[in-house]
Amino acid sequence: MRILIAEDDSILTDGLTRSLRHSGYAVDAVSDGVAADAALLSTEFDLLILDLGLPRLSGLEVLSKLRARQSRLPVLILTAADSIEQRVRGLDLGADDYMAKPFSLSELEARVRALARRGAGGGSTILRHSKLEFDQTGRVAMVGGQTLDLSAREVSLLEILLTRSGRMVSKTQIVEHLCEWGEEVSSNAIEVYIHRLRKKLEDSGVKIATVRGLGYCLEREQSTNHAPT
Amino acid sequence: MLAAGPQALPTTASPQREAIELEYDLHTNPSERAARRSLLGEVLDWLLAPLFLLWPMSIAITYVAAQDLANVPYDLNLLNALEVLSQQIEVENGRPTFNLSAPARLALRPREKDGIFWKVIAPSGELLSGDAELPTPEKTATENVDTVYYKNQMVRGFDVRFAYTWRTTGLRQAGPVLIVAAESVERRVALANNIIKGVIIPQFAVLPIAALLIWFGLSRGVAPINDLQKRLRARKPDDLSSIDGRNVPVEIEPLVAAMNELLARLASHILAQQRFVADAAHQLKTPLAGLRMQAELGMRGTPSSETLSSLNQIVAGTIRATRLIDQLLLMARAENPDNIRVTTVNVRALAQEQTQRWVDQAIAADIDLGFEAADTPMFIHGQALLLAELLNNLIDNALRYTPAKGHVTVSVTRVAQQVIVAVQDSGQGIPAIDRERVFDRFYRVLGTKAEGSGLGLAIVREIATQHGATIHILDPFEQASPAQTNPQAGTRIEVRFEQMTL
Repeated sequence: MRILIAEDDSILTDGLTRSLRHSGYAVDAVSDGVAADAALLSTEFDLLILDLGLPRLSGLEVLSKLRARQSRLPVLILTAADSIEQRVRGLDLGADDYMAKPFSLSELEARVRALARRGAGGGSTILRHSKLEFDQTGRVAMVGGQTLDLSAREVSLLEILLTRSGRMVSKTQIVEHLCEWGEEVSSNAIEVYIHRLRKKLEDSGVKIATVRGLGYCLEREQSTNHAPT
Repeated sequence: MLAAGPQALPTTASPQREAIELEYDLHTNPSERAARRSLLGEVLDWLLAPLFLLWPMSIAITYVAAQDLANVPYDLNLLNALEVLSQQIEVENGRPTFNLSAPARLALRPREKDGIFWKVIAPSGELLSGDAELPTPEKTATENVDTVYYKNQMVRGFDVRFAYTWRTTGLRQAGPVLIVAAESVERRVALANNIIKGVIIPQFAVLPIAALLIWFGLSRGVAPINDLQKRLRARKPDDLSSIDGRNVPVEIEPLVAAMNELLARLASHILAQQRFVADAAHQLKTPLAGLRMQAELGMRGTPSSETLSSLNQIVAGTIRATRLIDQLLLMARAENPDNIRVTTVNVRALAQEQTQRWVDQAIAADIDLGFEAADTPMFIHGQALLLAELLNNLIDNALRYTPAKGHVTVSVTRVAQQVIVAVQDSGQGIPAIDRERVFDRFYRVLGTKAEGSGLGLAIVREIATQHGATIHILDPFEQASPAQTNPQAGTRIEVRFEQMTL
């Protein structure tokens, strides 16, 4: 896994580089937008960690140029100005995720893991969470080699929770996602699906947490690298 | 800007205002100020003073003119008298004689003391008729025969008007006869006085009225300037919007335009400063991110417990610094006029949005964060940006003072005419004595370990006040949500807004 870091603060870059290398990734770093663009053109990366406030060429410009080339490289944005507008703009321009500075190391690692999963493999995407493996194309979930028996709705539900990589999904978003399959889904029905899904995921180490009045989210998986935060 | 102790939040305009006031004081010592005139005073002085100076002049001119006028009829009278007198002159035995008929005499002098006095002198100097005491004008080379001359002279203490002329008699050897007619000027003076009275007395009425009208007109003209001055004084200190110059006199328009230009320059200057502050603040977060990252990396190694403790403190320090920067940025944004538009805000949706932003952090802290509200929108008048920050600060506060496994609930409810936004937590609670003071800046309840910036609740109060809302700290209600270990502990903070009637 090769990661490119585009960040102009040397201390932060050093921290990012070392921590990602500890996690086993190969890391390259550049400190301005023009160098970032050049590096992206000349080398194949699996993930780009992009600071928005880059000198010479801004992060957003690097991102648009990247997407204009039809590149589907996963991009994680780092931003000091954490405003909704910035986030929306970044995501609209094609970023996959964002993190507001300053962030915790474990948060960074979780997000990198989630994004790395997305990009892995050419074609089929396999999402991993604790002991669970979810094949997005095949629409199959497996724990320790064993396929889980999930209904189509439950599969969709699991998928949207996984792809949000630890972020909360609101009930409305779940309804929207599930409705893509045709039929209407009521808010109460969601609770039932969640309940059933929880039961089926008991041994997988994947835990679904309820956020009262707001939605659901996957609890952070306990990584074995360090003590849980 | 963040001086300790409760005091009014200074506005960004304050340093400029102090500078301007200092300028004013330096350049206007009391004697200078006394010497300054008002515009109105200046104009009135130049209008009215000459008026009151010219007036006596006009009286003098009127006086002279009136006398000339008054002379006209009476001099005509004297002229006629001279004609009459000259017709009485005849020549007998080669000498001029004067025979005054009784009617002529009566016409000339109707009463003994009243009328025309005359004197007729023969070329030899002999008095042919009339009053000898009347003065005799000398005939010099300049006086012509047949020309009538007029003059004023004092006779026996009376002011008298003379008309005199020389007439030839027809006698070849002799010179002309001198005829003099005179009368006291009494009547003329009386007439002149009447004329003067007739002209000047109306002026006594007209002049004050004119002065009043001028003063009135000027006051009305100047009134829009006073009005403008009042409007400017009533402005908020941070109001740099254009001055409304619609009802301002044409002469002041360039001044208003110049002031608006100045305001615009000032506003953009302040905006640039704010943007700079915002940029700088944002940029501060990057080195903080670097610090935090390095500290956390250090913790991953195998540090001694001492070192580990220090590294933890460093991380905590970066978090606190970040929070402070966020508060600063909030204050800067709130002062930007573009952001302070009052609109209709769906508080229910806003609260849900803001709560969602904290979910990740709550989960990381193992706190159950929830949201409770009916599914209908609830509207109030307010500023969306500030209301979002109010909620942010309340939730942040609740999360910070709630231990792991605790609960925080954000709720929005409609009660009577109010919309109540409440954040309830299962933390340690706020003792009754502290409930007023927690909203003071940097106040910390005794015995709390949590480290916030100290500004959160102060900002909440500021924003609530701006919205005309009230804040209440209560004991938590019974919850229908998961049971708490100690239902008595905890805090419920309610912000009550006036509901907007649609």
